[in-house]
Amino acid sequence: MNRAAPRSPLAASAPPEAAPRLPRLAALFVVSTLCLQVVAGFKLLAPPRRFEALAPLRLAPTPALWPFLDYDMYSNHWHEGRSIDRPRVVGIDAAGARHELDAEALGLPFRAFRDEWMNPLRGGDATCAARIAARWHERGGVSLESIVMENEPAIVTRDGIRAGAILRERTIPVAAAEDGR
Amino acid sequence: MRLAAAFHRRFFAPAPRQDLAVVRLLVVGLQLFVMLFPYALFTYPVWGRLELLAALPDSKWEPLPIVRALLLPFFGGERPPLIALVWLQRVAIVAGAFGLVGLATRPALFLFALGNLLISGYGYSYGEHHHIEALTVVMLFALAFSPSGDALSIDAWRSRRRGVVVDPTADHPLAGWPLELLRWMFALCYLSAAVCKLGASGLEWLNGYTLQGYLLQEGIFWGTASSVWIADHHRLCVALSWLSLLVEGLFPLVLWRRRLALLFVPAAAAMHLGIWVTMRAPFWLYLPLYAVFVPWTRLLCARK
Repeated sequence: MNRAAPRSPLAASAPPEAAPRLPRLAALFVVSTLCLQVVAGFKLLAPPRRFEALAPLRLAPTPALWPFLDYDMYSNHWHEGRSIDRPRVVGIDAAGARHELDAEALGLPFRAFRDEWMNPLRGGDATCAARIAARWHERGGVSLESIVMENEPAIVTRDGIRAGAILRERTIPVAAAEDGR
Repeated sequence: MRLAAAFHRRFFAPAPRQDLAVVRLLVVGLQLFVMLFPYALFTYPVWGRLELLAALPDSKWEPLPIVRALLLPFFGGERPPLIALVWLQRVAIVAGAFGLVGLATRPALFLFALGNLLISGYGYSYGEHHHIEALTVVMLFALAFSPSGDALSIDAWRSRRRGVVVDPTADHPLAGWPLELLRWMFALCYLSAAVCKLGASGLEWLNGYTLQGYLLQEGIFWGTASSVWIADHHRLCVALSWLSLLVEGLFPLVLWRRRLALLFVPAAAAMHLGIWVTMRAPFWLYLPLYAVFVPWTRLLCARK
């Protein structure tokens, strides 16, 4: 499409340029770049493991050809009814009332809440329970007796996302967590 | 011979210098911004966490082959110290600034490209790797090997002062190949993405549940309400699945019917922006690269 670009009057009056050198290096760059992209992108040297007969061709599995793009993430299909974990933190006060303790409730950026508070708690770090209870209290919440780690799976369906049965993964008494701190 | 001639016609057809120069300004400008202000646009930018990576134990060091090869002359292929990386980053930024304004453009862009390749590669040499910089790095090298500094640059201004008048809108036989190369790279990347999906899942990938699942997964991980909202609408996910696969699979048509870029480039850009908003994958870095599909000189001349 650039070939049709109009020429300005200046171009016509400009002195003729010296003929450029043969673009051999540029051609070599183009050909090798395209070849490497084809090999990486179509996985010619990294056939899927399920094709056992092609195993000898697995000479350059990901990421051997980086920076050439061999992006095959999200290529596997899902089916209806498949679920995914949806963890959440719940605080229980002395009256037995439930308080959902998410990033917003605790006044934390989502990633900080997920990486530094919820995931360690999910992994069994009881000191996080004490930290969460203290932060909730500081922010004007009631005192909590225990912190519960729940998982409410989200299920993919034709009618949208449906909530699965809630699984209680872990209950940590706040007093015990404070003692362990 | 016919293949060689066809290759030459396609990649070395004369193109306006200005088209290449505009792409240089956009690609180098954004990359420089990303290096200077890594956290402004990225969640986990490699340019902003060299110290964190350097603090990791040696056992985590799994250099990419290209990184190992490039480090071989300097560190025997071993893990470089933090100070070397910091200086490499500084040199790359200065080189990028030179490349942006077009001063000693070719060597500056070569250094900038090399610095980006090494720093990005270093960041992905600890087990986790991504490809968001892939096309940018290729384009930076292509710009370095081409007359991208012949227009809209200090080099061009200095040439004019010496009496060498070069019209930026005039064609140059070597000004078109980087643009054509990147168009082909885009086409190959999108096509291979479509082929990978169909190869792994067949038409099942289009069942809507697949996109629902991935949106839900990323929505829960990143806390993005928009992706969970879309995942909650099965028919919308079916439509978006078809749209994504059609855009990826048919994108190569722009190589033969350039006007189709008017359809496919905005569609691909919208897809990447949507992926960024819902799934936080920053492929919007490709947006300035789409400038290779725009006939800048023709547009600018038409407006005059």
